[in-house]
Amino acid sequence: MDGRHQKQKNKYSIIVPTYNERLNIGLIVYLIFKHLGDADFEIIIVDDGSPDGTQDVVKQLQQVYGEDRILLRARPRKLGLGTAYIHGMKHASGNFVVIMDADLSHHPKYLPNFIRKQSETGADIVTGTRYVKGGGVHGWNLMRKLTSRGANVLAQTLLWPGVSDLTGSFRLYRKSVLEDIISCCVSKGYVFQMEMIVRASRKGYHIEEVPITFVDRVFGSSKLGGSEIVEYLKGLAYLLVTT
Amino acid sequence: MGWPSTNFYDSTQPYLLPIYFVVSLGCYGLLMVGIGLMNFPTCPQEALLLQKDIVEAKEYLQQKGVDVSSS
Repeated sequence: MDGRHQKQKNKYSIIVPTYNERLNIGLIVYLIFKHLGDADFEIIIVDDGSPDGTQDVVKQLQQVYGEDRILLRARPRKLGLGTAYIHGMKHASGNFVVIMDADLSHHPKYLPNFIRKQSETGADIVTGTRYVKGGGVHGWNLMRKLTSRGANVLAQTLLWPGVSDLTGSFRLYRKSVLEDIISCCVSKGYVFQMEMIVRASRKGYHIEEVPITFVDRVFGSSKLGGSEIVEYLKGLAYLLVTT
Repeated sequence: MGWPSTNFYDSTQPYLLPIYFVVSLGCYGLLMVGIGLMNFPTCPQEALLLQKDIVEAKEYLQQKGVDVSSS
């Protein structure tokens, strides 16, 4: 098994969900090609009907990099992150799947670290973490840090997941593992990411961590309000009773 | 004279235990949040490096005819 596995050349399907990322999608694709030059990979862009012309830019990128390397798998409207991953995975031909954001908060320069860590350890999942030495964030004010740290402490205390960054969405999965986990996840938003990693841990999958940095959105805006916190707490309670 | 001391302790101790537990857990949580906040890793230089990458990417994509304008 291990010998046969080693002979197989790994292919990586990078799933990038987009919504109104016209300004960022070209940058992320360029950086992926720059840092993954020698790897066998494809980029699957799951666009949810962006009105800003994101898909037009993707088609231009296909002309530059090739339609076999950049796949546009559009959807008519916003249908949620979990189903975006499922949709992307249906078209994935790689045996490993990378999930990352399109807004440059996840830098593709960490992809070689993910691949190396997986290769060295044989892990089923390699997850990026901002909360260990070598990781970090930029652009967060005190309230954002307090909210993030409080949420993390609460989740760590209640769920004991075995990873230090529960809500990060920059991860590499073995494709079969992702299919197994995603079929039983129902949460939305970043609670979805937490549910994914907690369920993976409960099922006994091998999880490794790689430090990453998180620079807040360059273009566009994001928001965090009271309703987000309520949704988070509900998700936490749900995970507590179902895992 | 008042309640016998044994009755006093018997009647109050059971109620204090869960309160102690909740307060201890709350203090632990606050302590962890405080420690985590003080040790929160930041990386301001990463933002600068990212800006350089963005400039580089835009130059390359413009040469290739990809629309990277802000309009």
